[in-house]
Amino acid sequence: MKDTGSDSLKVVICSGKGGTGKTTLALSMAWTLGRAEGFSLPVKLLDCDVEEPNCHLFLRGNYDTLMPVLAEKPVFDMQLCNGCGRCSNKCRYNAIAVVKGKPLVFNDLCHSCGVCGVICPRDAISLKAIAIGEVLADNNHRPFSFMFGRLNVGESQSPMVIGEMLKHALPDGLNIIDGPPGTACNTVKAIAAADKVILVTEPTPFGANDLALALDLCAQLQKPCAIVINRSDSNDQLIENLAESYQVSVVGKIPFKREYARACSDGLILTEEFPELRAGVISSFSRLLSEAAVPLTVKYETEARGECRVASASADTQKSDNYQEITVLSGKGGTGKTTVTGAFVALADSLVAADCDVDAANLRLIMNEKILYTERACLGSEAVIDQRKCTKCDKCFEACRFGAIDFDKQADRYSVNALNCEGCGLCIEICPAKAISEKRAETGSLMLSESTRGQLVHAKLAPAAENSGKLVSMVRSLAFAIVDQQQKEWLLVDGPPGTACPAIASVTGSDRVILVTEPTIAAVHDLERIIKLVRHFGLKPEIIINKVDINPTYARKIRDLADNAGYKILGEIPFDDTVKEAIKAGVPVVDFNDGPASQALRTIWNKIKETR
Amino acid sequence: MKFTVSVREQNVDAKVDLRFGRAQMFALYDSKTGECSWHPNTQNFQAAQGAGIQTAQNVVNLGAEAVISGHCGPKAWRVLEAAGVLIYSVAGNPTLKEAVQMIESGKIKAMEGADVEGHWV
Repeated sequence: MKDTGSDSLKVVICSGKGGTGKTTLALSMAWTLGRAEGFSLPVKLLDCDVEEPNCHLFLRGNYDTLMPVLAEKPVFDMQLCNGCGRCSNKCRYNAIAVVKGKPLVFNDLCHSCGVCGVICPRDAISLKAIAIGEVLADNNHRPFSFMFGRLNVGESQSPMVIGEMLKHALPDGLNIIDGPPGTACNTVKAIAAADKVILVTEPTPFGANDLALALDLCAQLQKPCAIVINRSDSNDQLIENLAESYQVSVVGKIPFKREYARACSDGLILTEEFPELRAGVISSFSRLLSEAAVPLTVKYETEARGECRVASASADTQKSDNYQEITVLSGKGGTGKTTVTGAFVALADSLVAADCDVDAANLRLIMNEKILYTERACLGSEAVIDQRKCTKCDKCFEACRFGAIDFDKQADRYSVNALNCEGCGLCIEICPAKAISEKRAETGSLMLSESTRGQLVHAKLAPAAENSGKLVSMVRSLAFAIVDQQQKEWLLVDGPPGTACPAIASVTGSDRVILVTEPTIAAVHDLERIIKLVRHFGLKPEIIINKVDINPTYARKIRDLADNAGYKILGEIPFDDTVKEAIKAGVPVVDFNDGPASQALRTIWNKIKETR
Repeated sequence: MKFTVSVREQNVDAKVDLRFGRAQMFALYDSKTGECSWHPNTQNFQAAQGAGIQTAQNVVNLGAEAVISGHCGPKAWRVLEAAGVLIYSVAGNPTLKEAVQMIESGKIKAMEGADVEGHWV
């Protein structure tokens, strides 16, 4: 094996789409390299998928909280506060209300930007650190060291937990980072810190679509990257063509075998169980070092042109009672959320569909749509520094909580790092020369499409853009308007993975939430987290167990979990090879054949109709 | 009594909008004098987060003594409670005036807590 060139290396494993095998590869790589002869560096695995951390389930240690992750939240001195309300006006996150002279703070909305403390005319606000998550570790003896971060359910500041985790990377060793899925702010945080990126994908149109988004993000962050194909079969051409167009190497393939899937569902490390896979992992790593040397530099181009909108074009954006909104969520990615939603889309007679997985929208791939119109969504804002007015006092650099002010020593120039800027407005408030102002930042594009089954509202988040939650709200608002206007009976929403802002935005006010899970150790863990979220909104989730026969033990665990909580199991879908064929053909599985999965989905849809 | 009612359109016969934070507009209706004024809620129904909080704050600033809506989440509840504003939750599909009548005749009681679970368990 080649030398890594330096003593410390951070490799982040990401995926665009969830459920492609990110965790599987991270664990296998850490385990294999940790005990490989001729690889002398110590290896550390850091699970930075803090919304849904899973690596620890495979390692079965006794974890201690190494430290809580703290975020500063405002506390008022009521002797000094006169209820003027400036803090409430200036807070971009609506986390403070002032009524009848009394301030109220909502910690779970607070982004800890510190604006309120700075602008209070009476110095009544101090900041106190409270825990929003934790970093856990254990001292078990294994070929590598391990640490994972966990965001408390209901908190939105996942980048902060990731940032804390990264401080614990080995200064002299190989750090393998299991990154979050998607292409939003938390993924940016993980990739930005990495030396090299491995993107794991699967050879399906869904996988290819999301891989392209992840590649765009790596290009924007100028990181060298390589691709590993999981569940590889005779159809890898789709991914290989894409890799070639980005000039990125496919450095490894993990073949699809049912026994591998079974081992993963039981929480086993693949290379530990199956020695034949070890050589492949080692060669993938060597090829990553030799072939992914140059940063990716494909320019991201926005598809949409024209006026940049701050809200959807339609005036009527409220939800009415004439239709039922069904939101399909999963917690963990890759459990079959879109397959299920797609089947419902094919089976419902009168519907509008909305794809709220704005990081990686897939529903359109099986709806054969024609885009009716696209608009640019500019929901965020970011600061800009006027160089003519800047006095280089360094105050903004010192004050920014997000590390979003860059200082270029050679040019003696301060500038705003758009990728890190959260648009809180702190620098604008404190700049003594009034040199900083705000501009609208492009979040992505919102699209309305026509298909033979009904209209589809979907969106594409710009790589590294903030405000994915807000874009989700925009997708739903437009969908509400369309479904009302067309007087349809159903609004079918394909939700995002995870438990943070986009998931929250897709579930608030929904009529009915369906959770799609699978009987694997990781999916059951994530199911428990998403149930907490759904329950918070006063909704009783209904559960669908996908690929139910892959692991009877975990299937039983899911049934028990639902039973104890009083939630209904809406149906169980058997593992069916033809589901993958249907995805490749770009049609909902119920239209593709009448196999076991199709039959199960038809039964489920009939149940949904009966209990409307 | 001064009621703030979430409504779907600017009309005394308008139906109550069951959404509070993301309602399109509010009517401020004085049941003594019969006066009614209209207040759009555009800024909040497009908010990414905290719509209920800001809406509740605006409602308090309008001088409302009671709120009529469909559901009230825990955050909006905290704001309204701190300001001593009563909250009435209506079901079905009543108009603004029907809802006020039901409340004044005692058919609907003020809520004693948010009707959406308020704690992460």
